[in-house]
Amino acid sequence: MNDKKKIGFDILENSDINTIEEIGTGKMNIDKNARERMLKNTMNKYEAEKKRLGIAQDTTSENNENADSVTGVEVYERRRLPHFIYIGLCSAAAIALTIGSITMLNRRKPDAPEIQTPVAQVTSTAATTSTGISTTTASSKEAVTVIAAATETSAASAKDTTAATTTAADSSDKTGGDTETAAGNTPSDTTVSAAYTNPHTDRTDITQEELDAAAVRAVKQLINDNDGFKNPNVAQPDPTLGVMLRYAFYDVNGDSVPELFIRHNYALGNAYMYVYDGNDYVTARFNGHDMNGNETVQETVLSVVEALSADNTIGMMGHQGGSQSFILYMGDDNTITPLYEYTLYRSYKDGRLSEEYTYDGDLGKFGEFLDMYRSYGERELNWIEYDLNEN
Amino acid sequence: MTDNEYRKMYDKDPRKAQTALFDEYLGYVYAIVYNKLRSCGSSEDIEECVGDVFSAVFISYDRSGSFDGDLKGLIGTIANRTAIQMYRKLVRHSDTVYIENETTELADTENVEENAERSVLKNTLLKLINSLGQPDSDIIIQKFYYNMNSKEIADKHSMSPASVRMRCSRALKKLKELLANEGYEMKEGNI
Repeated sequence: MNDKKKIGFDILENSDINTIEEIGTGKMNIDKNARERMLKNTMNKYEAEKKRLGIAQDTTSENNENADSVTGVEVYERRRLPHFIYIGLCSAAAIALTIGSITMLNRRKPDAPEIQTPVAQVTSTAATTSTGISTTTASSKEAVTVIAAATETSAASAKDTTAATTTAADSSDKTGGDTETAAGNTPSDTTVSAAYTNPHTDRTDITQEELDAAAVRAVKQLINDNDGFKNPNVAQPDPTLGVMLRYAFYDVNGDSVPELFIRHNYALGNAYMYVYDGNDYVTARFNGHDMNGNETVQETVLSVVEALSADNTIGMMGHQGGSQSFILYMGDDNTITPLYEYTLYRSYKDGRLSEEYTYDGDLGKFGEFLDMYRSYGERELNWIEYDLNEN
Repeated sequence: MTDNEYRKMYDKDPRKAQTALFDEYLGYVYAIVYNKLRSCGSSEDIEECVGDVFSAVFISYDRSGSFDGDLKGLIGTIANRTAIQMYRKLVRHSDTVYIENETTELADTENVEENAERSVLKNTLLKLINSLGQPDSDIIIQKFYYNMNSKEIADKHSMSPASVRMRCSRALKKLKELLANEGYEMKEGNI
Protein backbone atom coordinates (compact mmCIF):
# COMPACT_ATOMS: atom_id res chain seq x y z
CA MET A 1 0.00 0.00 0.00
CA ASN A 2 1.29 3.42 -0.97
CA ASP A 3 1.36 5.55 2.16
CA LYS A 4 3.09 8.59 0.64
CA LYS A 5 1.39 11.90 1.15
CA LYS A 6 -0.01 13.44 -2.01
CA ILE A 7 1.03 16.96 -2.85
CA GLY A 8 -0.19 19.33 -5.53
CA PHE A 9 0.31 22.93 -6.53
CA ASP A 10 -2.88 23.89 -4.75
CA ILE A 11 -0.85 23.73 -1.56
CA LEU A 12 0.67 27.06 -2.62
CA GLU A 13 -2.71 28.81 -2.41
CA ASN A 14 -3.62 31.20 0.38
CA SER A 15 0.02 31.87 1.22
CA ASP A 16 1.51 34.81 3.04
CA ILE A 17 3.09 37.61 1.04
CA ASN A 18 6.66 36.32 1.50
CA THR A 19 5.73 32.95 0.06
CA ILE A 20 3.89 34.61 -2.81
CA GLU A 21 7.03 36.58 -3.58
CA GLU A 22 9.02 33.36 -3.44
CA ILE A 23 6.62 31.74 -5.93
CA GLY A 24 7.24 34.73 -8.17
CA THR A 25 5.18 37.85 -8.78
CA GLY A 26 6.38 38.51 -12.32
CA LYS A 27 5.98 35.08 -13.80
CA MET A 28 2.34 35.18 -14.85
CA ASN A 29 1.12 36.26 -18.23
CA ILE A 30 -0.68 39.60 -18.23
CA ASP A 31 -1.03 40.66 -21.84
CA LYS A 32 -1.57 44.19 -23.07
CA ASN A 33 -5.31 43.76 -23.42
CA ALA A 34 -5.69 42.43 -19.87
CA ARG A 35 -3.58 45.29 -18.54
CA GLU A 36 -5.73 47.84 -20.40
CA ARG A 37 -8.92 46.21 -19.13
CA MET A 38 -7.75 46.23 -15.54
CA LEU A 39 -6.51 49.82 -15.73
CA LYS A 40 -9.80 50.99 -17.17
CA ASN A 41 -11.73 49.01 -14.58
CA THR A 42 -9.54 50.46 -11.82
CA MET A 43 -10.14 54.01 -12.97
CA ASN A 44 -13.89 53.47 -13.23
CA LYS A 45 -14.01 52.10 -9.71
CA TYR A 46 -11.75 54.88 -8.46
CA GLU A 47 -13.88 57.63 -9.96
CA ALA A 48 -17.08 56.06 -8.62
CA GLU A 49 -15.60 55.69 -5.15
CA LYS A 50 -14.24 59.23 -5.23
CA LYS A 51 -17.65 60.55 -6.14
CA ARG A 52 -19.24 58.54 -3.36
CA LEU A 53 -16.76 59.86 -0.79
CA GLY A 54 -17.00 63.40 -2.09
CA ILE A 55 -13.30 63.73 -2.91
CA ALA A 56 -13.23 66.79 -5.12
CA GLN A 57 -10.02 66.54 -7.06
CA ASP A 58 -10.66 65.46 -10.62
CA THR A 59 -7.76 63.54 -12.08
CA THR A 60 -9.48 62.65 -15.30
CA SER A 61 -10.04 66.07 -16.66
CA GLU A 62 -6.45 67.18 -16.24
CA ASN A 63 -5.03 64.57 -18.52
CA ASN A 64 -7.84 63.60 -20.72
CA GLU A 65 -6.31 63.21 -24.16
CA ASN A 66 -9.57 64.24 -25.76
CA ALA A 67 -9.87 67.44 -23.81
CA ASP A 68 -9.12 70.77 -25.50
CA SER A 69 -5.57 71.82 -25.00
CA VAL A 70 -4.86 75.26 -23.59
CA THR A 71 -1.84 77.25 -24.57
CA GLY A 72 -0.40 80.52 -23.41
CA VAL A 73 -1.44 80.11 -19.82
CA GLU A 74 0.21 82.49 -17.45
CA VAL A 75 2.66 81.01 -15.05
CA TYR A 76 2.10 82.01 -11.47
CA GLU A 77 4.98 81.71 -9.12
CA ARG A 78 4.26 81.86 -5.41
CA ARG A 79 6.76 84.11 -3.73
CA ARG A 80 8.10 82.55 -0.64
CA LEU A 81 8.75 84.55 2.48
CA PRO A 82 12.41 84.63 3.39
CA HIS A 83 13.02 82.20 6.21
CA PHE A 84 14.19 84.74 8.79
CA ILE A 85 11.10 86.94 8.24
CA TYR A 86 8.89 83.92 8.68
CA ILE A 87 10.61 82.96 11.94
CA GLY A 88 10.38 86.55 13.17
CA LEU A 89 6.66 86.80 12.47
CA CYS A 90 5.97 83.50 14.17
CA SER A 91 7.94 84.53 17.25
CA ALA A 92 6.13 87.87 17.45
CA ALA A 93 2.76 86.14 17.18
CA ALA A 94 3.70 83.65 19.91
CA ILE A 95 4.85 86.44 22.27
CA ALA A 96 1.69 88.49 21.62
CA LEU A 97 -0.47 85.45 22.27
CA THR A 98 1.30 84.68 25.54
CA ILE A 99 1.09 88.26 26.82
CA GLY A 100 -2.55 88.49 25.81
CA SER A 101 -3.43 85.27 27.57
CA ILE A 102 -1.69 86.32 30.80
CA THR A 103 -3.46 89.70 30.74
CA MET A 104 -6.84 88.10 30.17
CA LEU A 105 -6.32 85.62 32.98
CA ASN A 106 -5.29 88.38 35.41
CA ARG A 107 -8.37 90.47 34.60
CA ARG A 108 -10.80 87.59 34.75
CA LYS A 109 -13.11 87.55 37.75
CA PRO A 110 -14.52 84.28 38.86
CA ASP A 111 -18.27 84.49 38.25
CA ALA A 112 -19.19 81.08 39.59
CA PRO A 113 -17.94 78.90 42.38
CA GLU A 114 -15.40 76.49 41.08
CA ILE A 115 -16.13 72.85 41.37
CA GLN A 116 -13.35 70.81 42.75
CA THR A 117 -11.72 68.59 40.26
CA PRO A 118 -12.98 65.07 40.73
CA VAL A 119 -10.35 62.77 42.10
CA ALA A 120 -10.04 59.68 40.05
CA GLN A 121 -7.16 57.31 39.75
CA VAL A 122 -7.13 54.08 37.89
CA THR A 123 -4.19 51.86 38.47
CA SER A 124 -5.31 48.32 38.09
CA THR A 125 -5.95 46.43 34.90
CA ALA A 126 -6.47 43.08 36.49
CA ALA A 127 -8.63 43.86 39.45
CA THR A 128 -12.17 45.14 39.38
CA THR A 129 -13.29 47.97 41.62
CA SER A 130 -16.62 49.61 42.02
CA THR A 131 -17.78 52.40 44.31
CA GLY A 132 -20.64 54.85 44.43
CA ILE A 133 -23.03 54.86 41.53
CA SER A 134 -20.75 53.26 39.05
CA THR A 135 -20.98 49.89 37.48
CA THR A 136 -18.14 47.62 36.66
CA THR A 137 -17.74 45.20 33.86
CA ALA A 138 -14.82 42.83 33.48
CA SER A 139 -13.94 39.96 31.25
CA SER A 140 -10.90 37.81 30.73
CA LYS A 141 -9.70 40.11 27.97
CA GLU A 142 -10.49 43.51 29.37
CA ALA A 143 -10.60 45.00 32.77
CA VAL A 144 -12.82 47.99 33.24
CA THR A 145 -12.54 49.97 36.40
CA VAL A 146 -14.89 52.70 37.38
CA ILE A 147 -14.30 54.94 40.35
CA ALA A 148 -16.67 57.61 41.41
CA ALA A 149 -15.88 60.46 43.75
CA ALA A 150 -18.47 62.82 45.14
CA THR A 151 -17.71 66.47 45.77
CA GLU A 152 -19.80 69.34 47.03
CA THR A 153 -19.94 72.86 45.73
CA SER A 154 -20.39 76.00 47.74
CA ALA A 155 -22.89 77.60 45.39
CA ALA A 156 -26.41 78.00 46.63
CA SER A 157 -27.89 76.44 43.58
CA ALA A 158 -25.36 73.73 43.35
CA LYS A 159 -26.48 70.19 43.64
CA ASP A 160 -24.46 67.23 44.71
CA THR A 161 -22.34 66.40 41.82
CA THR A 162 -20.96 63.03 41.23
CA ALA A 163 -18.17 62.54 38.85
CA ALA A 164 -17.29 59.31 37.30
CA THR A 165 -14.17 58.47 35.50
CA THR A 166 -13.97 55.47 33.36
CA THR A 167 -10.82 53.97 32.04
CA ALA A 168 -10.83 51.03 29.74
CA ALA A 169 -7.66 49.01 29.72
CA ASP A 170 -7.10 46.48 27.03
CA SER A 171 -5.46 43.11 27.28
CA SER A 172 -2.03 44.57 26.60
CA ASP A 173 -2.14 46.25 29.99
CA LYS A 174 -2.46 49.65 28.44
CA THR A 175 -3.03 52.16 31.19
CA GLY A 176 -3.99 55.76 30.97
CA GLY A 177 -6.21 55.19 27.97
CA ASP A 178 -9.14 57.30 27.00
CA THR A 179 -10.56 58.94 30.07
CA GLU A 180 -13.89 60.64 30.20
CA THR A 181 -15.77 62.43 32.92
CA ALA A 182 -19.50 62.72 33.11
CA ALA A 183 -21.63 64.41 35.74
CA GLY A 184 -24.10 62.32 37.62
CA ASN A 185 -27.33 64.20 38.24
CA THR A 186 -26.47 66.97 35.84
CA PRO A 187 -25.16 65.29 32.75
CA SER A 188 -22.45 67.22 30.97
CA ASP A 189 -23.38 68.77 27.69
CA THR A 190 -19.81 69.19 26.61
CA THR A 191 -18.32 65.79 27.23
CA VAL A 192 -18.16 63.46 24.28
CA SER A 193 -17.74 59.80 24.93
CA ALA A 194 -14.44 58.41 23.78
CA ALA A 195 -14.65 55.30 21.69
CA TYR A 196 -14.31 52.11 23.66
CA THR A 197 -11.34 50.08 22.45
CA ASN A 198 -12.67 46.72 21.38
CA PRO A 199 -10.33 43.88 20.50
CA HIS A 200 -9.57 43.55 16.81
CA THR A 201 -7.12 41.67 14.69
CA ASP A 202 -4.78 42.60 11.88
CA ARG A 203 -4.47 39.01 10.77
CA THR A 204 -4.96 38.60 7.05
CA ASP A 205 -4.87 34.81 6.96
CA ILE A 206 -8.20 34.20 8.65
CA THR A 207 -10.15 31.46 6.94
CA GLN A 208 -13.92 31.10 6.80
CA GLU A 209 -13.59 27.73 8.54
CA GLU A 210 -11.85 29.46 11.43
CA LEU A 211 -14.63 32.05 11.68
CA ASP A 212 -17.29 29.34 11.48
CA ALA A 213 -15.67 27.40 14.30
CA ALA A 214 -15.34 30.57 16.42
CA ALA A 215 -18.99 31.45 15.77
CA VAL A 216 -20.15 28.03 16.93
CA ARG A 217 -18.00 28.31 20.04
CA ALA A 218 -19.59 31.69 20.82
CA VAL A 219 -23.09 30.32 20.25
CA LYS A 220 -22.44 27.33 22.48
CA GLN A 221 -21.00 29.53 25.21
CA LEU A 222 -24.04 31.77 25.04
CA ILE A 223 -26.39 28.82 25.36
CA ASN A 224 -24.40 27.42 28.29
CA ASP A 225 -24.58 30.80 30.03
CA ASN A 226 -28.35 31.04 29.59
CA ASP A 227 -30.34 28.12 30.93
CA GLY A 228 -33.57 29.49 29.58
CA PHE A 229 -32.37 29.36 25.99
CA LYS A 230 -33.33 25.73 25.63
CA ASN A 231 -36.33 25.72 27.93
CA PRO A 232 -39.50 26.70 26.10
CA ASN A 233 -41.45 27.08 29.36
CA VAL A 234 -39.03 29.62 30.75
CA ALA A 235 -38.16 31.34 27.52
CA GLN A 236 -41.67 31.74 26.14
CA PRO A 237 -40.83 31.15 22.53
CA ASP A 238 -43.04 32.34 19.76
CA PRO A 239 -45.27 29.28 19.37
CA THR A 240 -45.42 29.69 15.62
CA LEU A 241 -41.69 29.44 15.26
CA GLY A 242 -40.64 27.06 18.02
CA VAL A 243 -37.33 27.47 19.81
CA MET A 244 -34.86 28.87 17.37
CA LEU A 245 -31.42 30.42 17.52
CA ARG A 246 -29.77 31.94 14.50
CA TYR A 247 -26.49 33.60 13.74
CA ALA A 248 -25.06 35.57 10.84
CA PHE A 249 -21.76 37.05 9.75
CA TYR A 250 -21.61 40.59 8.52
CA ASP A 251 -18.63 42.88 8.13
CA VAL A 252 -20.05 46.10 9.60
CA ASN A 253 -16.89 48.19 9.43
CA GLY A 254 -15.43 46.82 6.19
CA ASP A 255 -12.18 45.61 7.77
CA SER A 256 -12.61 42.24 6.00
CA VAL A 257 -13.25 40.48 9.31
CA PRO A 258 -16.98 39.90 9.72
CA GLU A 259 -18.78 40.60 12.97
CA LEU A 260 -21.07 37.95 14.40
CA PHE A 261 -24.76 38.58 15.08
CA ILE A 262 -26.76 36.16 17.19
CA ARG A 263 -30.48 36.31 17.88
CA HIS A 264 -33.23 33.99 18.96
CA ASN A 265 -36.98 34.13 19.07
CA TYR A 266 -37.54 34.12 22.81
CA ALA A 267 -40.11 36.70 23.80
CA LEU A 268 -37.90 38.28 26.46
CA GLY A 269 -34.50 37.32 25.10
CA ASN A 270 -31.66 39.45 23.81
CA ALA A 271 -29.75 39.77 20.59
CA TYR A 272 -25.95 39.98 20.48
CA MET A 273 -23.14 41.31 18.36
CA TYR A 274 -19.58 40.03 18.70
CA VAL A 275 -16.26 41.14 17.25
CA TYR A 276 -13.44 38.77 16.28
CA ASP A 277 -10.23 39.20 18.27
CA GLY A 278 -8.10 36.92 16.12
CA ASN A 279 -9.07 33.75 17.98
CA ASP A 280 -12.59 34.11 19.28
CA TYR A 281 -15.74 36.13 18.89
CA VAL A 282 -16.11 38.35 21.95
CA THR A 283 -18.81 40.76 23.06
CA ALA A 284 -18.34 44.27 21.73
CA ARG A 285 -18.58 47.27 24.05
CA PHE A 286 -18.89 51.01 23.79
CA ASN A 287 -19.14 54.06 26.01
CA GLY A 288 -22.74 55.16 26.32
CA HIS A 289 -25.12 56.56 28.93
CA ASP A 290 -27.43 54.78 31.32
CA MET A 291 -30.92 55.97 32.20
CA ASN A 292 -29.57 58.16 35.02
CA GLY A 293 -27.38 60.03 32.58
CA ASN A 294 -24.16 58.46 33.76
CA GLU A 295 -21.56 57.44 31.27
CA THR A 296 -21.10 53.70 31.41
CA VAL A 297 -19.61 50.95 29.37
CA GLN A 298 -22.40 49.26 27.45
CA GLU A 299 -22.35 45.92 25.69
CA THR A 300 -23.81 45.23 22.28
CA VAL A 301 -26.51 43.12 23.87
CA LEU A 302 -30.11 44.27 23.78
CA SER A 303 -33.53 43.13 22.68
CA VAL A 304 -32.63 44.02 19.11
CA VAL A 305 -29.07 44.29 17.81
CA GLU A 306 -28.84 44.60 14.06
CA ALA A 307 -26.68 45.85 11.22
CA LEU A 308 -28.27 48.91 9.67
CA SER A 309 -28.31 49.69 5.98
CA ALA A 310 -26.05 52.76 6.29
CA ASP A 311 -22.34 51.94 6.19
CA ASN A 312 -20.66 51.12 9.50
CA THR A 313 -23.86 51.47 11.52
CA ILE A 314 -25.46 49.22 14.09
CA GLY A 315 -28.87 49.62 15.72
CA MET A 316 -29.83 48.51 19.22
CA MET A 317 -33.38 48.64 20.51
CA GLY A 318 -34.50 47.96 24.08
CA HIS A 319 -37.54 46.16 25.38
CA GLN A 320 -40.85 47.80 26.26
CA GLY A 321 -40.91 50.58 23.72
CA GLY A 322 -37.22 51.21 23.79
CA SER A 323 -36.36 52.12 27.36
CA GLN A 324 -32.85 52.45 26.02
CA SER A 325 -31.93 52.40 22.34
CA PHE A 326 -28.92 53.29 20.22
CA ILE A 327 -27.70 53.97 16.72
CA LEU A 328 -23.98 53.23 16.74
CA TYR A 329 -21.02 53.82 14.45
CA MET A 330 -18.31 51.18 14.18
CA GLY A 331 -14.81 52.27 13.16
CA ASP A 332 -12.25 50.27 11.18
CA ASP A 333 -10.51 49.19 14.38
CA ASN A 334 -13.74 47.92 15.96
CA THR A 335 -14.20 51.02 18.11
CA ILE A 336 -17.88 51.79 18.57
CA THR A 337 -19.27 55.26 19.20
CA PRO A 338 -22.92 56.18 19.67
CA LEU A 339 -24.40 58.45 17.02
CA TYR A 340 -27.77 58.64 18.76
CA GLU A 341 -28.84 57.39 22.17
CA TYR A 342 -32.35 57.34 23.55
CA THR A 343 -33.25 56.72 27.17
CA LEU A 344 -36.49 57.33 29.04
CA TYR A 345 -35.30 60.70 30.34
CA ARG A 346 -32.59 61.94 28.01
CA SER A 347 -31.39 61.66 24.45
CA TYR A 348 -27.88 62.13 23.14
CA LYS A 349 -26.36 62.91 19.79
CA ASP A 350 -22.70 62.12 19.06
CA GLY A 351 -22.17 61.43 22.76
CA ARG A 352 -23.50 64.84 23.86
CA LEU A 353 -26.71 65.44 25.75
CA SER A 354 -29.18 66.80 23.24
CA GLU A 355 -32.42 66.78 25.19
CA GLU A 356 -33.69 66.14 28.68
CA TYR A 357 -37.39 65.43 29.27
CA THR A 358 -39.89 63.92 31.63
CA TYR A 359 -41.11 60.49 30.71
CA ASP A 360 -44.85 60.81 30.26
CA GLY A 361 -45.59 57.30 29.09
CA ASP A 362 -46.91 58.24 25.67
CA LEU A 363 -43.57 57.45 24.06
CA GLY A 364 -43.62 60.72 22.17
CA LYS A 365 -39.87 61.16 22.39
CA PHE A 366 -39.28 57.53 21.60
CA GLY A 367 -41.50 57.92 18.56
CA GLU A 368 -39.17 60.61 17.25
CA PHE A 369 -36.18 58.35 17.85
CA LEU A 370 -37.95 55.42 16.25
CA ASP A 371 -38.67 57.39 13.08
CA MET A 372 -34.99 58.18 12.74
CA TYR A 373 -34.02 54.59 13.57
CA ARG A 374 -36.36 53.29 10.89
CA SER A 375 -34.93 55.70 8.35
CA TYR A 376 -31.64 53.77 8.63
CA GLY A 377 -33.38 50.47 7.90
CA GLU A 378 -32.26 46.99 8.84
CA ARG A 379 -29.72 45.28 6.63
CA GLU A 380 -30.65 41.84 5.39
CA LEU A 381 -28.23 39.21 6.65
CA ASN A 382 -27.77 35.58 5.69
CA TRP A 383 -28.89 33.84 8.85
CA ILE A 384 -27.78 30.35 9.74
CA GLU A 385 -30.05 28.33 12.02
CA TYR A 386 -28.46 26.59 14.96
CA ASP A 387 -29.94 23.39 16.30
CA LEU A 388 -30.31 23.89 20.06
CA ASN A 389 -30.44 20.16 20.63
CA GLU A 390 -26.81 19.91 19.49
CA ASN A 391 -25.50 21.74 22.50
CA MET B 1 8.57 53.69 -6.74
CA THR B 2 8.69 55.23 -3.30
CA ASP B 3 6.15 57.29 -1.41
CA ASN B 4 8.07 60.48 -2.24
CA GLU B 5 8.45 59.66 -5.90
CA TYR B 6 4.74 59.02 -6.17
CA ARG B 7 3.92 62.26 -4.39
CA LYS B 8 6.12 64.32 -6.72
CA MET B 9 4.68 62.66 -9.77
CA TYR B 10 1.13 63.00 -8.42
CA ASP B 11 1.59 66.73 -7.79
CA LYS B 12 2.50 67.22 -11.43
CA ASP B 13 0.07 64.80 -13.00
CA PRO B 14 -2.18 62.58 -10.88
CA ARG B 15 -3.30 60.28 -13.68
CA LYS B 16 0.26 59.71 -14.86
CA ALA B 17 1.34 58.89 -11.29
CA GLN B 18 -1.54 56.45 -10.86
CA THR B 19 -0.77 54.73 -14.16
CA ALA B 20 2.90 54.44 -13.26
CA LEU B 21 2.04 52.95 -9.88
CA PHE B 22 -0.43 50.58 -11.53
CA ASP B 23 2.18 49.36 -14.00
CA GLU B 24 4.85 48.94 -11.37
CA TYR B 25 2.72 46.94 -8.94
CA LEU B 26 0.33 45.16 -11.32
CA GLY B 27 2.31 41.90 -11.22
CA TYR B 28 2.63 42.05 -7.45
CA VAL B 29 -1.07 42.71 -6.85
CA TYR B 30 -2.13 40.17 -9.46
CA ALA B 31 0.06 37.50 -7.84
CA ILE B 32 -1.45 38.14 -4.40
CA VAL B 33 -5.01 38.13 -5.70
CA TYR B 34 -4.38 35.07 -7.86
CA ASN B 35 -2.97 33.22 -4.88
CA LYS B 36 -6.20 33.74 -2.95
CA LEU B 37 -8.73 33.26 -5.76
CA ARG B 38 -6.98 30.60 -7.85
CA SER B 39 -9.42 27.86 -6.97
CA CYS B 40 -12.69 29.71 -6.58
CA GLY B 41 -12.53 32.65 -8.97
CA SER B 42 -12.47 33.10 -12.74
CA SER B 43 -9.93 35.35 -14.47
CA GLU B 44 -12.68 38.00 -14.59
CA ASP B 45 -13.06 37.77 -10.81
CA ILE B 46 -9.31 38.18 -10.41
CA GLU B 47 -9.22 41.20 -12.72
CA GLU B 48 -12.19 42.70 -10.87
CA CYS B 49 -10.41 42.28 -7.58
CA VAL B 50 -7.19 43.81 -8.96
CA GLY B 51 -9.27 46.85 -9.94
CA ASP B 52 -10.69 47.04 -6.42
CA VAL B 53 -7.20 46.94 -4.94
CA PHE B 54 -5.74 49.76 -7.03
CA SER B 55 -8.87 51.85 -6.58
CA ALA B 56 -8.52 51.44 -2.80
CA VAL B 57 -4.82 52.36 -3.00
CA PHE B 58 -5.53 55.54 -4.96
CA ILE B 59 -8.36 56.52 -2.62
CA SER B 60 -6.11 55.87 0.35
CA TYR B 61 -3.59 58.36 -1.03
CA ASP B 62 -6.25 60.94 -1.90
CA ARG B 63 -7.61 60.85 1.62
CA SER B 64 -4.36 61.01 3.57
CA GLY B 65 -2.00 62.65 1.08
CA SER B 66 0.70 60.04 1.65
CA PHE B 67 1.30 56.32 1.88
CA ASP B 68 3.00 56.57 5.27
CA GLY B 69 6.30 55.17 4.14
CA ASP B 70 6.10 51.57 3.04
CA LEU B 71 4.24 51.77 -0.25
CA LYS B 72 4.79 48.15 -1.20
CA GLY B 73 3.70 46.97 2.25
CA LEU B 74 0.53 49.05 2.07
CA ILE B 75 -0.33 47.77 -1.39
CA GLY B 76 0.35 44.19 -0.27
CA THR B 77 -1.90 44.56 2.76
CA ILE B 78 -4.74 46.12 0.76
CA ALA B 79 -4.39 43.42 -1.91
CA ASN B 80 -4.44 40.67 0.69
CA ARG B 81 -7.52 42.02 2.47
CA THR B 82 -9.42 42.78 -0.70
CA ALA B 83 -8.69 39.32 -2.09
CA ILE B 84 -9.85 37.68 1.13
CA GLN B 85 -13.06 39.70 0.96
CA MET B 86 -13.59 38.64 -2.63
CA TYR B 87 -12.83 35.04 -1.70
CA ARG B 88 -15.51 35.09 1.00
CA LYS B 89 -17.98 36.67 -1.39
CA LEU B 90 -17.31 34.08 -4.08
CA VAL B 91 -17.43 31.15 -1.70
CA ARG B 92 -20.65 32.42 -0.16
CA HIS B 93 -22.29 32.81 -3.55
CA SER B 94 -21.04 29.62 -5.11
CA ASP B 95 -21.91 27.20 -2.38
CA THR B 96 -23.72 27.98 0.84
CA VAL B 97 -22.40 25.52 3.36
CA TYR B 98 -24.44 25.14 6.49
CA ILE B 99 -22.33 24.83 9.50
CA GLU B 100 -24.17 21.84 10.91
CA ASN B 101 -23.09 19.78 7.93
CA GLU B 102 -19.47 20.66 8.29
CA THR B 103 -16.90 19.54 10.77
CA THR B 104 -17.58 22.37 13.13
CA GLU B 105 -15.70 20.82 15.97
CA LEU B 106 -12.41 22.00 14.57
CA ALA B 107 -10.33 22.24 17.69
CA ASP B 108 -7.67 24.91 17.85
CA THR B 109 -4.93 22.36 18.19
CA GLU B 110 -6.00 20.59 15.01
CA ASN B 111 -6.07 23.91 13.21
CA VAL B 112 -2.57 24.76 14.32
CA GLU B 113 -1.33 21.33 13.30
CA GLU B 114 -2.97 21.59 9.92
CA ASN B 115 -1.51 25.05 9.32
CA ALA B 116 1.94 23.88 10.36
CA GLU B 117 1.72 20.89 8.04
CA ARG B 118 0.61 23.05 5.13
CA SER B 119 3.48 25.40 5.79
CA VAL B 120 5.99 22.53 5.74
CA LEU B 121 4.52 21.17 2.50
CA LYS B 122 4.66 24.61 0.87
CA ASN B 123 8.28 25.14 1.82
CA THR B 124 9.24 21.65 0.68
CA LEU B 125 7.57 22.04 -2.68
CA LEU B 126 9.08 25.47 -3.29
CA LYS B 127 12.54 24.30 -2.22
CA LEU B 128 12.39 21.34 -4.59
CA ILE B 129 11.06 23.46 -7.47
CA ASN B 130 13.88 25.96 -6.97
CA SER B 131 16.40 23.13 -6.93
CA LEU B 132 15.44 22.38 -10.56
CA GLY B 133 17.26 25.57 -11.56
CA GLN B 134 16.34 28.22 -14.15
CA PRO B 135 14.40 28.23 -16.38
CA ASP B 136 12.84 24.89 -15.39
CA SER B 137 11.63 26.16 -12.02
CA ASP B 138 9.89 29.11 -13.69
CA ILE B 139 8.37 26.89 -16.36
CA ILE B 140 6.97 24.50 -13.75
CA ILE B 141 5.42 27.36 -11.77
CA GLN B 142 4.01 28.96 -14.91
CA LYS B 143 2.60 25.69 -16.22
CA PHE B 144 1.12 24.19 -13.08
CA TYR B 145 0.56 27.09 -10.70
CA TYR B 146 -0.33 29.93 -13.08
CA ASN B 147 -1.90 27.50 -15.60
CA MET B 148 -0.23 29.15 -18.59
CA ASN B 149 -0.08 27.26 -21.87
CA SER B 150 3.14 26.32 -23.63
CA LYS B 151 2.90 29.17 -26.12
CA GLU B 152 2.53 31.80 -23.39
CA ILE B 153 5.47 30.30 -21.51
CA ALA B 154 7.49 30.11 -24.71
CA ASP B 155 6.89 33.82 -25.38
CA LYS B 156 8.12 34.69 -21.90
CA HIS B 157 11.32 32.68 -22.29
CA SER B 158 12.00 33.28 -25.99
CA MET B 159 11.74 29.57 -26.71
CA SER B 160 9.62 27.49 -29.03
CA PRO B 161 6.48 25.89 -27.55
CA ALA B 162 7.93 22.47 -28.35
CA SER B 163 11.03 23.19 -26.28
CA VAL B 164 8.84 24.36 -23.42
CA ARG B 165 6.84 21.13 -23.51
CA MET B 166 9.99 19.02 -23.51
CA ARG B 167 11.63 20.94 -20.67
CA CYS B 168 8.40 20.91 -18.70
CA SER B 169 8.01 17.17 -19.08
CA ARG B 170 11.57 16.51 -17.93
CA ALA B 171 11.34 18.98 -15.07
CA LEU B 172 8.10 17.45 -13.84
CA LYS B 173 9.61 13.96 -13.90
CA LYS B 174 12.60 15.25 -11.92
CA LEU B 175 10.31 17.02 -9.45
CA LYS B 176 8.35 13.82 -8.86
CA GLU B 177 11.57 11.98 -8.10
CA LEU B 178 12.67 14.66 -5.67
CA LEU B 179 9.28 14.58 -3.95
CA ALA B 180 9.41 10.80 -3.71
CA ASN B 181 12.79 11.07 -1.98
CA GLU B 182 11.15 13.35 0.58
CA GLY B 183 8.28 10.93 1.08
CA TYR B 184 5.65 12.66 -1.04
CA GLU B 185 3.77 11.74 -4.15
CA MET B 186 2.67 14.24 -6.79
CA LYS B 187 -1.09 14.41 -7.25
CA GLU B 188 -2.21 13.05 -10.58
CA GLY B 189 -4.55 14.84 -12.95
CA ASN B 190 -5.02 18.52 -12.26
CA ILE B 191 -1.97 19.02 -10.10
